[in-house]
Amino acid sequence: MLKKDFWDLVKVFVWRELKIKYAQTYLGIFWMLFPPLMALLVVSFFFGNLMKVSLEIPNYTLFAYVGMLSWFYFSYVVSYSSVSLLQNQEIVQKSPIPRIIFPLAKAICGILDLLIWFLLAFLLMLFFGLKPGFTFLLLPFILVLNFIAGFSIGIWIAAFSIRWRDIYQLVPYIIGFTMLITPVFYHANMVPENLKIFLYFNPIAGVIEWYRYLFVHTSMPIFEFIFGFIFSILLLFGGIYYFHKQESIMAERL
Amino acid sequence: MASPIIHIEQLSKRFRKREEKTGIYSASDQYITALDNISFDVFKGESVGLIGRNGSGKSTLLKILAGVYPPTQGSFKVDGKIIPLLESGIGFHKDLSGYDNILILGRILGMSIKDIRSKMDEIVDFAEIGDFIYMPIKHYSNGMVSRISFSVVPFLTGDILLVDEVLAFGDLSFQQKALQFLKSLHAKGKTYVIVSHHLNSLITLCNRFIVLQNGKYVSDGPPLKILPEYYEELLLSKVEHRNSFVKMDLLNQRSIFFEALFEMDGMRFLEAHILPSKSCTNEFESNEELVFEFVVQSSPKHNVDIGIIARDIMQNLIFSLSMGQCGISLERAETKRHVYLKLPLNILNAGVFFIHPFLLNLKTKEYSLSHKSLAFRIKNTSDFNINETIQLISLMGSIKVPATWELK
Repeated sequence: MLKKDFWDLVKVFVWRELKIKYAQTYLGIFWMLFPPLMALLVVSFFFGNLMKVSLEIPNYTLFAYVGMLSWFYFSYVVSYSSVSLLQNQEIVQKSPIPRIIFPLAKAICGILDLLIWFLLAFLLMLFFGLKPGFTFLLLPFILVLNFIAGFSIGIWIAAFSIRWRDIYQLVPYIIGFTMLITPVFYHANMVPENLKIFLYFNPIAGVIEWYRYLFVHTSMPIFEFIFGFIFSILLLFGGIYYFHKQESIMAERL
Repeated sequence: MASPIIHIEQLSKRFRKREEKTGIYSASDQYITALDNISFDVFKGESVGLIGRNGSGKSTLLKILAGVYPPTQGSFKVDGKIIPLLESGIGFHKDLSGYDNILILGRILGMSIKDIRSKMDEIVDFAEIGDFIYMPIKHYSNGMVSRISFSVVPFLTGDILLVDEVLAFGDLSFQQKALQFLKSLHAKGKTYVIVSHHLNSLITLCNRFIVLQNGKYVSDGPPLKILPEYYEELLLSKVEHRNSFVKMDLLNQRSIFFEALFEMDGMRFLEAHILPSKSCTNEFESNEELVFEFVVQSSPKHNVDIGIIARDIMQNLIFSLSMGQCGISLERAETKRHVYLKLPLNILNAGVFFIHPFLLNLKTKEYSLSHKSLAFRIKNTSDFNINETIQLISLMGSIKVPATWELK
């Protein structure tokens, strides 16, 4: 399939997702504002006042908000990508279009929600008097890493689910457990040294710390982050390969 | 000879039997063979009708050609762009408008977004939908949904069209439009393979029929040669018809066909037989005379007539006869009566015919027609070879008319 055709198809499916999601709602895409606003509320009033004292993290509101931002996109991609095949099984069973389009379209759809989160993050920065520096040029790359972290896991689950649909029952728990071992509300440095290495194997841990470097000027997690990054890349290529191998039986076994 | 546009070589497809089991899911070791060693070629410009019973593998074959799943064994080659019409309205979502759904469908079938938008007016025109196009399709009737899903097709570009039963919908004029479009494709030299059960439509659309049976490639040829054979196989292998060909009560020298069949207004139709020819089969020569025997039982209340209709292999009604036309009436009597009909076979051409008895209420003009029938074949004893006269057969019809020609 031609590259142009492929991306055209992805575009149509992203657009289709959005239209379906907000069909017949009154507020439509304004509902995208809701999750980040809620997150901000939770973080500032609830956690901020409870945790700030004990953790002594400056700019905790923004700190935790950025963690939630990254986590939001990660969990969005994992949960929606993994079910994308099942959701579109009629198309899978009657059409030869590349199956990777389905999780991909879902993941890209999430970026649009993410943009609203970013918008709010920028506003918070200005509000708190923090200045964005040249380091912000790194933001697109970190976004890509955020995408890879979620997408690589999502397609593994999707491909696995062809043979073993039970895995969908596990997904909420996988996400829930991963959240606990991810420094969303706390800083990775707060974990004892011997355990920090394991923490960074979690691909999203490094990503979150990078986001925080950009927004709240915490330290750059260069070395620690390498583990998670390599792990993520391996998961991605492994996942794409496995997905591709399963592609031929998807129409029969879904 | 030019190379084929579709080349299929020893294609087989097996599916694992899927069993509904709760608890530990275990894939069954048993397989269903959907396609069994299929090999044939399709050349550019051919219009192929793929026919066969339900479950014979037609859809599976189209899906493999379209690329939905790979074959288990064998290979195929396609030399051109395929447009797979395997389902009506792929990608449709009920909450989206007709406009949006057409956009999605067009893209899935290979049209660029720019093209779809620019041709949208023509597409909506073809679908005869009008302003409904902006309404969510969950408010559409089934016919409307089918129409918009087909209306994208004339605007697609491709070399080979694969159609899986998405032709049967819409009112007559829309069906004509759809058929017209397909014929125009053929005129342009495009190739298509259609799976349909509308055999009468397929005759006008296709110049080649391929028959699949139990996943096997069974026959292949011009429609008018294939179709009668196909119909015979289809209809005559049903149990009640086969009985009339095979099962003979040799003790009584009768081929008993059915018993206690149906009743109407107190008249009970009990049995129908063809009184046997010398050879004790249901194949006759055209110079013979068949005698049908019907056993009926009436109750004193009503005045009922008995008759038959005759159908040819394509289920067209050829003629009907009733006893009342001869002036004989079934008097009201409790007893069993035996009714005989003598039918000279020299009025019929060679072929397979079905005789369905019916009962007619003379007062209310209601009738009750038997769905079962007596089937018999008139043997072809003429001296032309069936393969040489395909065209003639389409002209021959079922009735031999004793008219004469004269030249001055």
